Amino acid sequence: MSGFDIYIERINDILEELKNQGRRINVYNVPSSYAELPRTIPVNIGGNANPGIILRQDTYVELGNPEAGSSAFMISTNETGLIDDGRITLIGPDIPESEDKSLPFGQVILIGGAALDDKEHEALQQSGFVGDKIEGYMIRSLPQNIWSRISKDAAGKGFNFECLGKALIYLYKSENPKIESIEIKFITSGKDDVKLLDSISEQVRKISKEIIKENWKIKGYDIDCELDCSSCGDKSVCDDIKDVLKNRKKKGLVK
Amino acid sequence: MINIYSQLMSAANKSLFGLTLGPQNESDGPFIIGNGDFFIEIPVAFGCSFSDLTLTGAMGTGLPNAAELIDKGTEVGVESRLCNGIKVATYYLEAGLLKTPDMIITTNSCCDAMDTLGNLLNGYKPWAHIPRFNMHAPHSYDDASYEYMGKQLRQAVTFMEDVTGRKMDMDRLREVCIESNKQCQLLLEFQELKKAKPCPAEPDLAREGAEFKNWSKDRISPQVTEWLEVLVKETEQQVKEKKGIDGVDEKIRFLWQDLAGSWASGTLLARLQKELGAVCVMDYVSFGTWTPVDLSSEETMFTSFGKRFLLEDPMNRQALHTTDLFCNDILQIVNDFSCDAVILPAHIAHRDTNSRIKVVRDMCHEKGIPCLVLGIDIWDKRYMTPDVAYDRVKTFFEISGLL
Repeated sequence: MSGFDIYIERINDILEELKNQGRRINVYNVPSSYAELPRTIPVNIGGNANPGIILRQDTYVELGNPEAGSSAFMISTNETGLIDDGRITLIGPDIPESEDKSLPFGQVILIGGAALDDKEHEALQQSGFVGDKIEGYMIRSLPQNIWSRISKDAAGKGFNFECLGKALIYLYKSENPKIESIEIKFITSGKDDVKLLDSISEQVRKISKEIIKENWKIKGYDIDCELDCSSCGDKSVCDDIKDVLKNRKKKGLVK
Repeated sequence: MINIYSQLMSAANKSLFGLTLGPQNESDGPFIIGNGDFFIEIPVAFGCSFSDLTLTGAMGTGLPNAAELIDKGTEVGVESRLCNGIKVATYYLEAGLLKTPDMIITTNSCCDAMDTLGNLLNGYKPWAHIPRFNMHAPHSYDDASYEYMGKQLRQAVTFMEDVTGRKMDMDRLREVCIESNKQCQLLLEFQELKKAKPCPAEPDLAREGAEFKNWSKDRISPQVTEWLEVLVKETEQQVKEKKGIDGVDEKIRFLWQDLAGSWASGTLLARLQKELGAVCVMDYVSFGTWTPVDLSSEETMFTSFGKRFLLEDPMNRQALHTTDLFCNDILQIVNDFSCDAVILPAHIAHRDTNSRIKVVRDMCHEKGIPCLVLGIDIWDKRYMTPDVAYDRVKTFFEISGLL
């Protein structure tokens, strides 16, 4: 899982650059033992914690509407030292001050675990589908990026990015025992700031695709084969069959 | 009972089915014909009529004389397993039933049958004198591919300008994209509402809305926006009141991972819903993944068009790319929309999907999702009748313990 390491440094550089440009930064540190985290969050966490839909009129703030800007990805490494476990960084405005707004949203999840290998990659990605697991937080079905809503009720209970970070840390760690450390970075300061993550996200997606491809190969499938006739190894066989059929048609042997 | 949903359905259908043989968005301007969906905002902004011959053929399979049209298409001599929607289009072309276009714009696409149709269009002798432009769609989805496709769409505009001697008004194109972005947001809103249990509205309205937006004679017009606004508002109210589809006692939610075609909605899916409470909450045409067109500059607009064309057109998304993307979409839909089962209709002509049956089955087995492979012809109900398909699906639900 070392393919991603270089990007951890780049993400830190981006955050440093934003800090130097005077963006507001809030940092929260969460204890390593995750089991107690749900008690420190004002909303329920876990399967079916958010069973309903958050309607437009019940929305306190929207995050990552594609028009506002959105970028989200997860990076894992065996070098646990590269991850500052339990650290949640927010660059930009927080939820309580953003009523009725549509904020740009960048979310980077850094995961460390000496025993993590490529086989876990898919499971780690799926832990990102938090779906109905955080009360008052609804992720919309748009693959690749995160577009979500926070309900007025949850905001009223004090839900903010520290809570969202804690909930994500809890869900990731409880679902993947090999995780030793997690660090989360949120950016809401502007569309251009979120866009800075795009070049990394593109590279991460490419590496991720390669890992997934290899995992499929282990199961016996090549998921990336060319699909068009011109590149198919059996094209000559197909062409021969077509010729045979043509000749048979000419001779009136088939309709 | 006539309710607001029946009225919406009827308005959209009127706009869709009024154009079986004629071009969509008929206008006084030039007429373009293609073998697949062009980026529709372009012809709308250019003020010209556009006809997607694949769609014209597919709509033919919904007519009362569909069987006759399909058989006539077969008699033209195309490969016997070719998609029947395309066979009807082939018949329309070869029988000289289509209006002669001013331009032909084709592309290689997700589907071998559509490619064949493109070749037939380009080789059709009576139209040999008509200017043509052929685009190449890459089988990949990354920024470089979107840019590559976007540049070709820009070149297609230059081609249209050269043929007609008039310029594309980029401000008009921007206006059309603003309306289109609004409509995509509303369609995505309706999609979210379908997650509610019970499903608050006829799920097929999502497909209807997408087709009304892109394929009807009113495409991208404010009428479509208004239609979508009413749809979303009414459905929000249904969700608030925790109401499901009128007259349906929802027991099962499933994904239909293919096109619904011309007969399944009104027969098989309607019967499953009514008699078994089995609601098809999602099919692959309804699964919207649209990102808004980036209006910052002409270049970003066309790159957005490229992305929409390659990755966000439902059939291109599901058929042009990797099995991994196909499987991930299935998993995401099952998770997000609380589906109890996956049905792969395995349309006989969708070779791309059919080559993935084993992978999808294995994946569903691994995740504990009941999965049925049907093997129907979505355009020709003679291949497997709605009654036989119904019995198979019902038996599948029974043995999976869902009924």
